[in-house]
Amino acid sequence: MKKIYLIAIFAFGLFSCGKQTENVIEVKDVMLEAEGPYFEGPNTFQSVIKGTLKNNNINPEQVEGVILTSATITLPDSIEEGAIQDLSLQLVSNNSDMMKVGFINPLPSNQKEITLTVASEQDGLNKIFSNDDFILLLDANLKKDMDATFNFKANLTFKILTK
Amino acid sequence: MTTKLCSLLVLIMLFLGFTSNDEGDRLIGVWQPSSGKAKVKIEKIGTKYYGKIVWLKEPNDPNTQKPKVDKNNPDESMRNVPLKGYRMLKDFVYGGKDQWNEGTIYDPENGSTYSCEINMKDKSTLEIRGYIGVKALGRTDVWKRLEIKAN
Repeated sequence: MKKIYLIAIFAFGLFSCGKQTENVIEVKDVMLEAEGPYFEGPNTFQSVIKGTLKNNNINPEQVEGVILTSATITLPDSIEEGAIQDLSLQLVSNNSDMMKVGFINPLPSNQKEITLTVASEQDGLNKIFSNDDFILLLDANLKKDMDATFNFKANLTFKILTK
Repeated sequence: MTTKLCSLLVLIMLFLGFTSNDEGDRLIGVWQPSSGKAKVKIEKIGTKYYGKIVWLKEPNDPNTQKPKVDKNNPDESMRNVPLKGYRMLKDFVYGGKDQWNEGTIYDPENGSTYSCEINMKDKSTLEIRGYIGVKALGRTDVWKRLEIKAN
C-alpha cells in the first residue's frame, strides 16, 4: 500500500513539474553609440534593445531562465590597431540592477571581431528580461584621447528557458 | 472648465517631473573619495545613476606591474576585469531631499558589495554610506567633487 502511495506521489510530481522549453535567441547587429570626442580611459557606448521576447513570440511571464551564451563585438573600421585596452559589456533595465555579462582584457591584436568572455554568474538576467526592453552598455577603455565619433556593433546569443 | 483643469494638471505633472529629474542630475560629475586613491565619474544611464573609476593613484599592481584588475571578485570568471573603468556605484535612484538610494557600492579591496546611500551635503560634498542590512551598521566616507577646468 505504501508503495502505491509513493508511486502516486512520484507520478503527480512528474506531471505537475511540466516541461521546460529551450529557445535560442540571437540579437544581431546592435549599434552601440556614443558621441565623440572620447578621452583616455573608459568610454561608455550604449543602445536600447526593445521587444526581444515579444519579437520571438515568447511570453515574459513564462520565462524561467535566461543565459547569455555568446557575445561578440565588431570594432569600428576607423579605429587604429591597439587603440583599445579592454572592453566590458553590461545589461540593465529600468526595473533591474546593472549586470556585467562579458569582458575581454587585453584585446587580441589584428582582429576586428572580438569574442568576449561571458560571466559564469548570470542570476540577474531573468529580471532584466522581465521588462523586455533593456539597455546594452559597452565600456571601451581607450589608450589615448580620440577626436572622432564611431560605433561598435554587438551580436549576442541568449538561451531562454520557458515553461 | 474641465479642459482648463486638465491642462493645469498636465502642467503641474510636467513641472514636478522635470524638477525631480534635474535635482537628481546634480550627482553627475567626477568625485574623489577621502583616501584620494581614485576618481569616480558619476553618470546617468536610463533613469538611474552609476559611478565608474576613471583614475587610480596607483594604476598598476605592484606585484605584476600591470594595470590593476578586479582580482577579489567573487565570480572567478570576472577577475581579469580592469579596475579602471569599473562601475563601483550602481543603480542609484534620486529619492528627493538631496538623497540617492537603492544603490550598491563595490569595494574592490575585498570583493564585497554593500547597500549604499548617498547624501549631498553641499554641491561639492557627498556622504557615501555603505552598509550591510541595517543602515546603522555601516561606514560613511566623504567624497569631494572635482571641478573640470575648461581649456
